Amino acid sequence: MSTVFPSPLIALITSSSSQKHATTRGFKSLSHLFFPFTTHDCQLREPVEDSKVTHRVRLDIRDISYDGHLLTLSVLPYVLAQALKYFTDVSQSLNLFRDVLARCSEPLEHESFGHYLACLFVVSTHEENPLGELSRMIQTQQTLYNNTSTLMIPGHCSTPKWAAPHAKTPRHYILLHDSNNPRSSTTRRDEVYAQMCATYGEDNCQVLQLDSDSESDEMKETWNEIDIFNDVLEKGLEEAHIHSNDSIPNTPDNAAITSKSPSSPTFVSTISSGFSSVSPNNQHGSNKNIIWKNSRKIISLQDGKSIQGVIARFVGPHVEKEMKVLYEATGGQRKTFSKSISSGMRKWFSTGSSASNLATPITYAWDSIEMQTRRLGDLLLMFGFPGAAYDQYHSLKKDLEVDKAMAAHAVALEMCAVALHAAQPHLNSKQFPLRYLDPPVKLLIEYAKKYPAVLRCAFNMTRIYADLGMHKEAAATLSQISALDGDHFVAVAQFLAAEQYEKAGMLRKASFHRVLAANRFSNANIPALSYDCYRLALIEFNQKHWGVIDEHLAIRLLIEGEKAGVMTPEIASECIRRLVAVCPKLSPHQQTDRLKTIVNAIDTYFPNQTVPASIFSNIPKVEMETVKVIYGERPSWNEIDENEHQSVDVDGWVAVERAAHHALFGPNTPFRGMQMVSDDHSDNQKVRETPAGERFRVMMDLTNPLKTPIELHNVRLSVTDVKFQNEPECSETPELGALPLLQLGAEESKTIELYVFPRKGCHQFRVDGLLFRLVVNDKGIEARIPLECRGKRLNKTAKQKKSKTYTSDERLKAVVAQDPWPLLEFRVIKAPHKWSYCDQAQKYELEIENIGHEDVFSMCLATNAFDRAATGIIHGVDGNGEQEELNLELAANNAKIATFMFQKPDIQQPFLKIGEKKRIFIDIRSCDEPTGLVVTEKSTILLIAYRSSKRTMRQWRKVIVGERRRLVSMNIDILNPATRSFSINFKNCVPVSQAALSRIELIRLRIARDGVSPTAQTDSLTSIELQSTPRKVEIESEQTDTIVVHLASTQDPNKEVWLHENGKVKTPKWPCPSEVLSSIDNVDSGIRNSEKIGILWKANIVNNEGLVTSFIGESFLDNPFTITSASALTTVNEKATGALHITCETPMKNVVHDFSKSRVCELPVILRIQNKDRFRRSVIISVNYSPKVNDAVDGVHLIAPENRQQMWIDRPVRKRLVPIDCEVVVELTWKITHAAVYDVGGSNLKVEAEFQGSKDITSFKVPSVLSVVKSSSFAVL
Amino acid sequence: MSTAKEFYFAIIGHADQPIFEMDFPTPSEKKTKESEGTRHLNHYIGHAALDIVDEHALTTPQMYLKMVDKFNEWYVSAFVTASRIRFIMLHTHRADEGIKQFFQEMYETYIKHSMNPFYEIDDVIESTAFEQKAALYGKKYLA
Repeated sequence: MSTVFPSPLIALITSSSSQKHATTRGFKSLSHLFFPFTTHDCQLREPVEDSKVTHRVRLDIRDISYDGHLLTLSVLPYVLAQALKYFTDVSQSLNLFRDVLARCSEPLEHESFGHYLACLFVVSTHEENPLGELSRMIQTQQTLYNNTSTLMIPGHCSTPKWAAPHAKTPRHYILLHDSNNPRSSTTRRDEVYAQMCATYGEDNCQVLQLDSDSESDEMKETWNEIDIFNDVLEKGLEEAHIHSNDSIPNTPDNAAITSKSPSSPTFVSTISSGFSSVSPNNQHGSNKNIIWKNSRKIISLQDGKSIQGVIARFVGPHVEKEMKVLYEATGGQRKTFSKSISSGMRKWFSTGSSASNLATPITYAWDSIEMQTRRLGDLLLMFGFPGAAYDQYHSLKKDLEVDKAMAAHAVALEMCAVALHAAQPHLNSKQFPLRYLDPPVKLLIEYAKKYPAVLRCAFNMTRIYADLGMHKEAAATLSQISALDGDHFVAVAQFLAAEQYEKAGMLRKASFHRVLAANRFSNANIPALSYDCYRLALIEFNQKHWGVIDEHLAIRLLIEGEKAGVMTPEIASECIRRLVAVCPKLSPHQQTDRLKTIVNAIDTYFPNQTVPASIFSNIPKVEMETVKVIYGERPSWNEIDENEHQSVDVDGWVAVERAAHHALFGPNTPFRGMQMVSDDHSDNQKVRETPAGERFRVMMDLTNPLKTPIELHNVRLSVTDVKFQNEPECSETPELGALPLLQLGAEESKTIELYVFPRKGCHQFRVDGLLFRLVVNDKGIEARIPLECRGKRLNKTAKQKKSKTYTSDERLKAVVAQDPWPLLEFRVIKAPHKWSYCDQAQKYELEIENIGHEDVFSMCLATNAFDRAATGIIHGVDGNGEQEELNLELAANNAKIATFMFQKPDIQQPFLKIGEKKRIFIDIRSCDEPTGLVVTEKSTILLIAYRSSKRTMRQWRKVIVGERRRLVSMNIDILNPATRSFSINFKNCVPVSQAALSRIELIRLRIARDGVSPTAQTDSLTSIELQSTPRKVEIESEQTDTIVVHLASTQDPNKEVWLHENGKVKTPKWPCPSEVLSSIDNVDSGIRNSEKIGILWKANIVNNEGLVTSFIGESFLDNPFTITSASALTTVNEKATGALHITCETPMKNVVHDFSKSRVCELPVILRIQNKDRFRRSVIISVNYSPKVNDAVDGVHLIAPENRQQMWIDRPVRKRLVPIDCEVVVELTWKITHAAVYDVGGSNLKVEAEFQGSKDITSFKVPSVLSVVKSSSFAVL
Repeated sequence: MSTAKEFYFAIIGHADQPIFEMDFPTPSEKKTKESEGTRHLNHYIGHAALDIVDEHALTTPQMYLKMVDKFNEWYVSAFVTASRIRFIMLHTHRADEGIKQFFQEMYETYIKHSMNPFYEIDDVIESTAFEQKAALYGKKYLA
């Protein structure tokens, strides 16, 4: 239907019998029947060149009585709106819109399109008096020439306009002979035809015979186009009729459109110039319409050809003649004298600028030269002479512009461009006169005031721009239409503009204009197209995270899609996904609304199914780093130590686990590792085992990201990849533990525990998601959040460093162990406080009960507190009986891990039968503060492992990470080396202000030896004795006291000195603390044998809140007469073994220096060098400073900080003579400038010795001694 | 047409995604509720203007592209950094000099921010300091 140029319009007036024939054959009218056959080749002589040209012409035949003429501007918007509503696809709708606009809109008064060129009269052979009927119809046509008469045409149509006066309008008379009718007779046909020819002339009369009597398959879809048009027209008229009834009284002034109806442009008149009011046709009943819609169309191809033949015969000669007449009337003299008197004079007589005066626009008489030129141009264009038409328009537009007839000028300009483009389609954008393209739309908006003209012009200009490849300009032209008020017109223009932007490669502009179009379609109550436009716009915003836009599009799509009923699950899913993503960023009240929208949408579009995983990602948010998996029934959720993996690294645990494993199963049993709890810090690369018949528990934190509460029902895990050992026999899906209700407040986080219960026979499974029902306002949806844990990031190879690669995390996957695991319940009867004093004795008392289904045959404790722990079993019913201490054994794999066997594995009797209970205790001495030499473990690990007869095992773990405070400080002063007497000074470190009472009483002194160290056996035994009689030594806050003691040889290794006989207490039997050398400065770490003085004390503390605590502790001091501390390391030179004994000491092992007050801190160091040469030679020693950096540097900034010289000595070289058996003391002072750990001996100093009688210089190493320099007492190193 | 001066500033990443947004003057609580309904329009206009910005950026060596687009009462000015990060400013009144200076200051601020080793190009800028700077320069040049 859509053509480039308007089609020539032919009026059709039919008799009632002819109309009946059409209805009988299933058509609305004869014009309906004729529609597909109105195209024919028309050969015409061109008036200018006088050459014959054949052009394919399509005639637009309108049955004036039944179909009516062009629609009034009041009715047209309803019909156009219906055209847009006809399809749900926006492109199809727009095509139909353009067709309906072209077919139904009234022409402007400055053009001859839309004027009837000729009139067809159709009379049937079945008329009683065909000639009389013809006379009546001619009379009707005569009546229609009277503009004021509206009786003969449908009420919704505008008055017909004729291209020529009544007398000159060509008339053709057709005798319709329907041979299908039983009363038809060829005799009658010939008779009537002869009478017609006699009356109206043979050339003007034709017979149209329809012979078909059944529906033809080949003609089935021939009338689709006009059927759709008629349908749209009917619906539009019905809508207009309803509206007209709604708005009674209906006058031209109140023809405004209500919100439900299509709005009309306010800048452009909606009222037809020739018609007074909206008066939709009510002549055609709905029954009649139903008849033609549903009935079969009984027309054969042969009939169609007959119709085509009849129509083709009558137009050509008249048009040829008319063009010639018009050409002659306008040709030659037009340019000088052509202006019509009316227009020419108007300029002189007008009171003002008539062109700019909107109230009195310039009009031209139909027979004026301008209109004749225009008619000629229009005829030439319609009948295939665009080049000639262009010449006419080109000259006309200039005249009209001079006349200031801007509306006429605009339409002439428009047709100028159209004709030129049709005549010379090969012109490109540089060759085409662009001045034709831009102004018409603007001028029409400003002057013509009729939206059909504006729309037609905009469409024409857009097409030409697009053909010239100027898509941006085309879009800009269409955008000008947004000045109109008619929402559906603007929507159409915006959508077409979007298409042009898309063709220009401006996708973002295109999407914006689609959104604008969608908004206008929505305002025009056309939800299907609004939805389609939003849908098309959505693509451009994919993955761009424009939160506000995403939210707007999603909401609009859901609303419009629901209104139109065209929403698809894919789009719904996308909308919901975007809403979910953007929801947390909205304000609280918006979040509530959006949440309802999300739930409603899911309920509507995904009924009875779980929401796709991709949609719900963050409502609620699963904090993946908190996902913790517990394999089996123990530990309970409240027993899990949060510090388990944070304070102890994986290797630390593995070492202790390995020690326990070897203790239970023997050193030759391969260690596979066991993990009871997996979390973000544990090694999750292996798939762990979980026991059958016990819960596989998953704990996680759920956070509500919204500022509004949410309610989750039936929260449970989703299990997949379930494998069974014997598939056919046992394929029971693991049971799932569910939370019936979980309420999360605004932005609240909650930890939940869910479980899978694998039965025996289930071999393997994996948890892959969290299932729940999200309930909002009693409406719920099933949702699923995927659970996928990610391992640690790999950062070793270059590839791993450049790209983000992660280890696999098998936390949520488990292999089900078929043999039952032993299960003990550990109840902590007594536990120490979370913080303690240094050297305080801490006691754990545990009650263990076998609550499993397996006897426990062996159990052991493994700990890294190898020199601070003692454990044992408490016998008796209530644990009041005798305590049985267990022997400490150092682990075979690690000398820094101690194991205690509660029962050896080789004993056949169970250690703990099913249901049996026992009590055990663990004594831990709280660590001392770390010093320069001794590196104390930050955390104390307690791991109790137990096994069954089936070699299955389980663990219980505890980490002690307590804060420690210093209670008492002690130091030793040597009084007399000969008698090995020395004083021990005590100081209570608790400030007076911090405690109401802090009393420390010394109880016992002893010499402690490291019994587990092999070197301990070689030293001679000593004991400590008081110099004076025992007395009670008590010190309160900040008080000091001193006791004098001496060492004596003894045979009793357990000899102890009790200061107060009545104060004897039961003391833990932990070993002598061993000093672990640090690995700082490449000193090999290891445990050194040492003999220490143990001082047992008892403290009574009443803090400021009145809380009374009483406890004991044991502090250890170095034996001042043994080779102690770091000075015990005697460096042995290979060449002169034992010749020199060099010790290095510093009184400042732990220094606090305020560098802000003094930039330099001095560290004194004392070297004692004893000459023990076996050849009894004296020696000259030279103590030399060995700087780390020897080469001179230009600037300190050129060297990395770790490579710079950090310490300087006061005297770089010191020489001394050392006689045999004598000892010299060399005192040096280091100067340092910042806080760190310094080796004040070691490689920084070198002793060179020149023995008497030898020229060789022998070098000796100086032992390392570390000094910790802190910038403040709070600094932690 | 609104009489008050309004500005909407956005930094757009390489995938056309906004990495920083700010309105000037900073919307008050009352105004926020009022503008919630139309706020998306600014985003649409800003996003649509990127086509023009990209076109201009190809044809001029200047970073500041002046006013590149207009929709209803909103003008769009743009600035393209050396790394093709686009700054756009929607404004209801012409304030070319102020906008130019604002862009320049924000460019320097952005460069400093992008040198943070923990910031990856095209990530959303969530730095409070950056926001404060933007607010400061907005107050200084766009008031």
